[in-house]
Amino acid sequence: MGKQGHEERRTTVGFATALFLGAATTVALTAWTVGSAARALFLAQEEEIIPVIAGSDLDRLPALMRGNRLADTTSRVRGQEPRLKPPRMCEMKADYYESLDRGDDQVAGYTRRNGYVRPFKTRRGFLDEREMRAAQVAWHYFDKFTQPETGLANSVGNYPSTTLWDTASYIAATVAAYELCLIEKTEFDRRVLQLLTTIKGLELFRKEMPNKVYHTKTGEKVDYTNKPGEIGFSALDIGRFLVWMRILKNRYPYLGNTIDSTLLKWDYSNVVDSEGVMHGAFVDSDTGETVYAQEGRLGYEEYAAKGFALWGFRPVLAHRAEPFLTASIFGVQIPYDGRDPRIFHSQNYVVTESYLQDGLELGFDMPYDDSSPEWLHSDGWRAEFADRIYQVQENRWRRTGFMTARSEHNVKGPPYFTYDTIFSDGYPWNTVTPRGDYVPDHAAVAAKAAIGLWALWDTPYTDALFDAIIELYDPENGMYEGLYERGQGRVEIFTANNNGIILTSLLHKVQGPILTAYTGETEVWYTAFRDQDIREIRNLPDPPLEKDWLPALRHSIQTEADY
Amino acid sequence: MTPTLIKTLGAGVLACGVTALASSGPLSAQTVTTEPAGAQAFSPENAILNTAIPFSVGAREAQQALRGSFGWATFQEGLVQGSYFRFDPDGYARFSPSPRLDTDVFEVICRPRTYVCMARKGPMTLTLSSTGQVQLKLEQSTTQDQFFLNDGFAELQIPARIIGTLDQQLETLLGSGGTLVTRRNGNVLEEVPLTGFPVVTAYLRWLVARQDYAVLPTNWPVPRTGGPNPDALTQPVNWNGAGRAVAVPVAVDPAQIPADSDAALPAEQAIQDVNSAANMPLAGTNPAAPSDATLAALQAEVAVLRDMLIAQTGAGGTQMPAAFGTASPLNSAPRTHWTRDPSLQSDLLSLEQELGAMTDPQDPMPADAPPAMPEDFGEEARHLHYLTVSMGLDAKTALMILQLRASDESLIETSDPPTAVDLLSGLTPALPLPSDMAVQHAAQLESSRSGSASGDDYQPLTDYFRSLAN
Repeated sequence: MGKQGHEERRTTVGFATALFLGAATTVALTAWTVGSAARALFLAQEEEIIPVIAGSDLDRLPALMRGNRLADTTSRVRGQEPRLKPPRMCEMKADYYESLDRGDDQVAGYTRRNGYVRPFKTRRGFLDEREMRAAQVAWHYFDKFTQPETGLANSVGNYPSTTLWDTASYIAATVAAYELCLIEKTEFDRRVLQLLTTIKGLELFRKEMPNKVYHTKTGEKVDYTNKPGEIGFSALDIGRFLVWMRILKNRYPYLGNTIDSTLLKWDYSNVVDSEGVMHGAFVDSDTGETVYAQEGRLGYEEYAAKGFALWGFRPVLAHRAEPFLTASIFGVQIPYDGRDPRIFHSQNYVVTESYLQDGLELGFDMPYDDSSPEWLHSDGWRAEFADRIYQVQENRWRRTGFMTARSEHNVKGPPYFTYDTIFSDGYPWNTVTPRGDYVPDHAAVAAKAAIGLWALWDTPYTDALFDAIIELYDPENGMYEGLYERGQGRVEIFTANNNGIILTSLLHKVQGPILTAYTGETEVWYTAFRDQDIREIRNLPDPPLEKDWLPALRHSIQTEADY
Repeated sequence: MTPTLIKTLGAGVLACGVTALASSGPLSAQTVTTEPAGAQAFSPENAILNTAIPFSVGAREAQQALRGSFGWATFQEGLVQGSYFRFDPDGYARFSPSPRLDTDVFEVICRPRTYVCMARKGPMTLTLSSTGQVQLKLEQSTTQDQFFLNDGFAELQIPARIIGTLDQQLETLLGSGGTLVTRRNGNVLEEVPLTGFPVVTAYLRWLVARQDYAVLPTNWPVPRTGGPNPDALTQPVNWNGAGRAVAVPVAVDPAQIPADSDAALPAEQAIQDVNSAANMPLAGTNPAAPSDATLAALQAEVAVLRDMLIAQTGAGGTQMPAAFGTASPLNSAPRTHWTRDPSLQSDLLSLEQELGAMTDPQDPMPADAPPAMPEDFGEEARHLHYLTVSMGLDAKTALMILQLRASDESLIETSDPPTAVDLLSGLTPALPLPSDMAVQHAAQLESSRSGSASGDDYQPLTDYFRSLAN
């Protein structure tokens, strides 16, 4: 029994050992097999890796070479048809508008990508006789008040002074005059080239950016008294100017080098910071030092930010609507800037103009969008806010009888300028001077606002606005600034901004959004100074890639009247 | 003083005379249009005010948020005597009891590049005459209408001559507030609140006087320092009002001088110098003692000016601009005529004498001591001296108070300023008496003042509680 038991124990141990060895062998064989297979698979995968080609998207290019890259736009990234420049009005076929996609079957509201389809349609078509006459008269302002010495146009009538904002209005007028066949290419080129040459030669504010004001006869930088001196620079003015530089360059590529070399002279190191905030500059009266301060409020800020973004900058914060609040006026939630004027010492005027400019010039689109149809606005909330700005003015007309198209405008005599607002300082329909006086007598139907609304909102109300304004002109001086709300007649002053926006509105009727796609390849703007440190010193941007695009956002939509 | 300077001063006086004559037309005609001439009137050359020089205590210069260069970069804002105000370098101003400047607004507009300004509120317009007096116009009213001052309780009829140039009493009356009511055939034609009237008239005078504080009313809160040249504006420690103050040469920013007035600039400067000299504090009235050198220079200037004026009298002479002969509303009207009449010469002579007295080393009066009272002054004179020097009242008001004191002791006891009824009674004896309501109110007030409570009218509190306990 003892011997037999001992043998059985030995047999069991031997079996277990054999089993263990067998299992170990099996695991080892399996591991080897899997490893070999994985290795084979891995090696096979390596064969399929796309090689990084120099200069391709996968190539992390050094700064020296990044300028050669093309900027990403929707047409390139999504393979869509770019929005090309329409023909001049006199070169359009008679049936040109019949084939236009007006988005008639589209449902109003936000899209998946936060684009927005408006419930309103823009006006499109050839100009009729009245409109053409208004265009001619508006252009006459620039014909009369452009200084032959410099090619700069006066901001206000005979007063020989201008800003980049108003110079952009002059460029807008020149583009419109050419596209509406009021002038020919010879005249267009002469004016634009002289202007750009002058701008390139302007003495900058402390060798940084263009001064806020220049004398139009001499081209000297001046102070607020139009005497030689300096004030600072305005990020808003520069932003609008950049919008029109991009429009010029995209529409007329032969001007590209001139435009690029003009803009390359400027130092952008302070105007847009790393957080994407825009800063203006002024001179401290006590120390004489340059002071940089955030500039822009809801409406103008986003419009100007898009101007910078069109040139590769990334003003992320400036482009956002926040911080904003709303005020209920005639049932419409009117957005206004939420920064407290008592703390930030900057008023939050709600006027029509900045929304008009965004719609007319940029089609309420994102800066990188060069391909979406006219009825789809990729900068969705801007279009939706603009609709509110329109609606509240129509509502006021319907409820009170006051024809309303409010904007900032000049007036003849003191106080010379008023912010004729939809909302400001906590009050609706507040007309105030820059120093803060409440001046309701200066409330007016602003001509530029009326014609701009007419172009972007095809409604019976804007028909009424059009009839009130379109014959409000002096053949010798241009379109009047507006029509006083309280019956004092016309606002008898003539300005570049008013006439420029009116021409832009008329051009929009003919051609749609003014900004078109860039059809060139690389740009000097991006390739220049690559072998030096100038780009870094002046904060010159690289061509924006898709990852650099400003975010397209949406805000809650008002679905019913709020009283 | 060098001969060159003498020539300059002389030429300056002459040039200013010409300037004054040229400008006296528009001033006296007062044909100010509501809109400036020209299609677009803005021009930096229109600046006539330096917004850095405060109009009153607490006023400050601020920047305007301009979109372009068409407009003024700076303005001044403040609060004085219940009126908020803002004004631009071209004189354009708004006054209102509301900080938003949105209700009951007085608006002042000046003809470009001139000191011809007009204040308006509704149908009422105010301008200054060549003698610095306020001229009032009402759009639809004529002297055939009846005018009333409504203070919310009663309505006082006032003479029709308010349409036109106001004398001091009428101006004081309108400055007391209330509403100016115009009636035609018993019906109300126009109503204009007079809120801000004294502030606006003070502003008009200050503006015409090139921001000279001497023209402001006695009780005006004039800043001690401020402006582009604080040293020039610094006043003695106990200097507390323009009524006892002197014209201070205000530093004029050359940028603020109209471009087309370059030729007149030396003359204006000369006049300012003269103005300063002529208005130097008299002995015993200025607590600060000027230096001997300053006094000597002033004496020399006065002597030269006297000689020049005498010489010009024989040669046709000139007239000084009204703008430099500024008037405070109540007490400075006699100074508004800078003519070559003998009174000016005698003033200058007396000024010389006073200056001589100031430089007298034997004068024991310390610079900051209160002015000495002549021994032969009577009680009334002493009282008058007290009111004018210690209280800071102007002579007219002080006299009025003395007269009122003499006529009605009770009124003096209350120390109230003269009422509209008092002023009116002096103004228009022919006018009907104030409305019955006002008379009754005054009678009630009088009776309530005169009625004195006797000891029987009171009950001690202990007696009261004792009566309750019983």
